[in-house]
Amino acid sequence: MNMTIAITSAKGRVIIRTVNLKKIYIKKDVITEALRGVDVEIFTGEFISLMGPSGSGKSTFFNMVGGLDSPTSGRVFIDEVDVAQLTAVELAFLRCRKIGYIFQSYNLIQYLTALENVTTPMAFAGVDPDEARTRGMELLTLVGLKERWTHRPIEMSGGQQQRVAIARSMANRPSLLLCDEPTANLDLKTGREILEILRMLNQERNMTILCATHDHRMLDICDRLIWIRDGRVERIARRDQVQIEVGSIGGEKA
Amino acid sequence: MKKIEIRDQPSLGVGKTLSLTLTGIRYRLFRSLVTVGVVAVAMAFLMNVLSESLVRGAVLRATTLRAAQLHQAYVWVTKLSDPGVLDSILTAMAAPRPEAVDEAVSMAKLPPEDGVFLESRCRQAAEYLRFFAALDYGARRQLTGKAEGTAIFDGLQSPAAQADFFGKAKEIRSLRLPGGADTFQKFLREWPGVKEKLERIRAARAAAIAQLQGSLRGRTVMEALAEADGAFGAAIRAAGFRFPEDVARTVAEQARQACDGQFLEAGLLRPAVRQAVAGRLDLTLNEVNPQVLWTFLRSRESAAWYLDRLKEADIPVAGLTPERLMALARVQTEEATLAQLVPLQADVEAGETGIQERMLWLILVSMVVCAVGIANAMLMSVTERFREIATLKCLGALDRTIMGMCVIEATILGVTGGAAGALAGTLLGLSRMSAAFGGIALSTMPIGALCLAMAGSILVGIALAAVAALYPSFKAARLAPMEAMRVE
Repeated sequence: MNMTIAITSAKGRVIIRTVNLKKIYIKKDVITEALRGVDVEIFTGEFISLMGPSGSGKSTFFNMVGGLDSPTSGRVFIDEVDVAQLTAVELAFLRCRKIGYIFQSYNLIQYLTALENVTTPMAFAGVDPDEARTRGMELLTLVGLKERWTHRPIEMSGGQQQRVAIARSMANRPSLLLCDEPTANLDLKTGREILEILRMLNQERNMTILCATHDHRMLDICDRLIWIRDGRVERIARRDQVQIEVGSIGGEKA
Repeated sequence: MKKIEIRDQPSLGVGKTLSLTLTGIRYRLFRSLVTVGVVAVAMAFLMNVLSESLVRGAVLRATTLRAAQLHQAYVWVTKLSDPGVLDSILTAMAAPRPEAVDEAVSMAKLPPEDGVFLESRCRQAAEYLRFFAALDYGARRQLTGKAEGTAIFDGLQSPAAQADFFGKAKEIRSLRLPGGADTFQKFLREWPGVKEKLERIRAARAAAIAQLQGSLRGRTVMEALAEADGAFGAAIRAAGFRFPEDVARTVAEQARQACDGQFLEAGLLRPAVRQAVAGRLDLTLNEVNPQVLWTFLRSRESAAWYLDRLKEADIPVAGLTPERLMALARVQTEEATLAQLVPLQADVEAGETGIQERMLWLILVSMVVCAVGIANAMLMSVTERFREIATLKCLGALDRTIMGMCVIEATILGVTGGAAGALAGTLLGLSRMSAAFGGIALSTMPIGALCLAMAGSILVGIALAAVAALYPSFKAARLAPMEAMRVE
């Protein structure tokens, strides 16, 4: 782990820290070790790319950090709060206000309009409906969907749905944005637009973003990269360190 | 950047939960309708069975009552021409009509306290007789030999016969004497006394009937009963029968109807009249029978026409009007309808609900079908939304909010489906029953019981739906969001 210590970011304080994180799935005598002990520190304002082949444990790590799944052993600290110590109600509070989620398959509520999707987390947080509406429209404007606020997910393209999902993830001004392969279901151009929005959120709003991805364009905008392979952190590197090597690594990883 | 502080998440208000659920139902309208449909079909099946048995029961009770009223004249004809046998007297005394006992006791000039004694013993005897009659043939033969009715009690008077009887009764394991062996033994000891009193009642009744013979003056008893509200009624009372004025009026009216009916039917025996009727109805002579005649006489025009034919045949029709003929025709057709309803007795048993064992079984089965159908529909509607539930949890929904949404949805679907199904099932049952029994099914409809059954089954439907939705939604709500997403 000397590498982690060696490559510290110049940005803020630690927001996520995992200690020896392990996750084992047991299904009918088949034991799958998805994570075999991961130690990572992420700082506020950072844009982290989480890379690795399918089945490397990327998504599992992502879910642990987001409090969406419980680790078999090890700990996740979000701002030095141990997620495992939280009650179900406190966990709901954490998911609602402190973390925004963006999924590969968007996961919008099918029966709600774009605006209603964005305001749902605010309703859960107890925000006044009028204020939620105003804020929801601001967020939709931010992602460029001001005109389409009455549309339901099925009436929108994948890129538009993902933009609604980004607006929704920002609903309660979270400290951390977790993206699980946000561009995997999108074509190149739309994917670029989504990445542009994420970059803008990171740079203009100083949002901490953790992004699991296969998308190598992410290299252009992230601060650090974390490679995961076989449930372990294989490598952590700053962007400027990777740029030079991308040719050789890219050929192997892609 | 501010430090994260963790507090308790507030619950979503009831109104917001409701509107979120309703939006969901509206969006999945087709799927929701299918669920409602399943609940409705299950409920309709249940309510159909329930309403049909309720209506059947009511119809049977009404027809039994009506038939008893219609045949009072015949009952009195029998009563005034035959003293009956021991068994029939015993059955009459055991029936829940105190005046029968009073009449018998006063007629036989027994002390009044014998009334209470006789009534209770006759009830006991009737219960034993029913018990023996209900036994299967082998067991009855073994216990009582060839004896039938009260002869069974006579045959068991000797100590040897009793010892034999109780010995065999012990061997048959399923046998359960009403009240136990001791009570039966006590009853057998008292039986000779009871029998002697019943014999006296029979003798007194025979004497009374003999006394009445003088008042008949050569008429049949039915003809004499036509003036039961006059002199003959007084004679009946004088002979010692309980014959109150209101009963006398009904009996007299029915007797007159019976006599007139016989008279009109007798008209068909005249070749000229028969020929005319056959010609008018376009039937052969053989096809003309009283049933055809009564159906024909229901209209005023044809009643007048028939009276004219009788007059032409020199049959005295004084006192008969077309209206009278029509009224008679109505009574006769009603009797025919009632006779058709008698087979109902096989399906329905008297009692509060009028539901027999077979019906109860059917209802039980339909309840199970209903429960399985509703549970399946609700399970499906929750499990196929695991992903949505997981997403809502990611957005900060509390477990209780998720549960609330599911239970509200289940209740709404349960109420809609339950009400629609109960209504459809009841209507179907009622229409089937009114097709089978005609107007009597609607006029005797037990509205209160039907409403109660409907409310009950709707409640059962809601409860089933809620419980069936509760379990999977509880499971979904408790799972970590990603585990719930993985379930798919």
